[in-house]
Amino acid sequence: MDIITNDIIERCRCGDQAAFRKVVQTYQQMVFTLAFRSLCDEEEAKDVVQETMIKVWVNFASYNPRQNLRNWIYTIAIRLCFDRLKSKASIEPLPEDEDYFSQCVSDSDTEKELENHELLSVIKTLVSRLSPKQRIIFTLVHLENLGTEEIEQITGLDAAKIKSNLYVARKTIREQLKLLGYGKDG
Amino acid sequence: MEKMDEITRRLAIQQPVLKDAEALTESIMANLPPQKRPLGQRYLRAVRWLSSVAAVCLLILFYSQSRDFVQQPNDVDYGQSLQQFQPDYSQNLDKLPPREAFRQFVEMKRSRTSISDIKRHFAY
Repeated sequence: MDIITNDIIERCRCGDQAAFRKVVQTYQQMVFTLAFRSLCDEEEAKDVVQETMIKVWVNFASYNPRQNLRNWIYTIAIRLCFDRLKSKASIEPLPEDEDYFSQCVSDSDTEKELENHELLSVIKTLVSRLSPKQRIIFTLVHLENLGTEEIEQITGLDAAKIKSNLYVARKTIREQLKLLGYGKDG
Repeated sequence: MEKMDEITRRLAIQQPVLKDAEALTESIMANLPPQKRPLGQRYLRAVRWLSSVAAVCLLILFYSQSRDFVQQPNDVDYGQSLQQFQPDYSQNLDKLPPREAFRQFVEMKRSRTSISDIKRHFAY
């Protein structure tokens, strides 16, 4: 990932589109990954990338340069994902998703690259029973590997709420795995 | 390691592939709306606008007041004018019925003129 210098940020704040292109190129993959994992939909994830980047551009003048740019973009993206999750009916995994999930789980080669649709099937099967908030927290903690402090900044939730949501999310996923025939020891 | 952790670790390593990343960038760049001004600048603009409006209002007020001032008649009958500043104590309000007493009291109060009115009269 390219480093966005203060000069680029300052130029973006002044309305320089060429500088903003650099920001888009740097962060679009990050936003896409986050939206893809949260929403379990490739096309919707692309829409979120577009919406996020436009919001970033529109509000760049009010961005505080002391704040981490990556976290600021994360915050905008997370809010958009959360709004979409709330308005969306829960995602029910299809039988083929569960098939992909079984293949992935039983595959001994853990380094094998998964296609987007395979990744979607696995995530969908895993998180289908989580509430929007639990899903966002689970994605940020386990899939994006962010620390509690960063998640507090991004989501605006306090550490206790993050922990409780994560606890319930993990418990629900464990139950889901049990239902699919994967106990604690696999 | 718990099965869940094993799966999530694997998912965390693998990133989805963003196909047509260049096309997405172009689409974003082509749809950029105008930027919002920062809050401070917006407030400053609002304050400037309000002070301009206030200045115009003050000018209009000053103009209308000075017009009234010029239109005052020069031949004021000071004797007659002074009469209205004299309170009429001839009426004994206690002897009147309450409703009438109240009406007269209000009338009396209304006819009282402020110091500024007296000053304006004597300025001519």
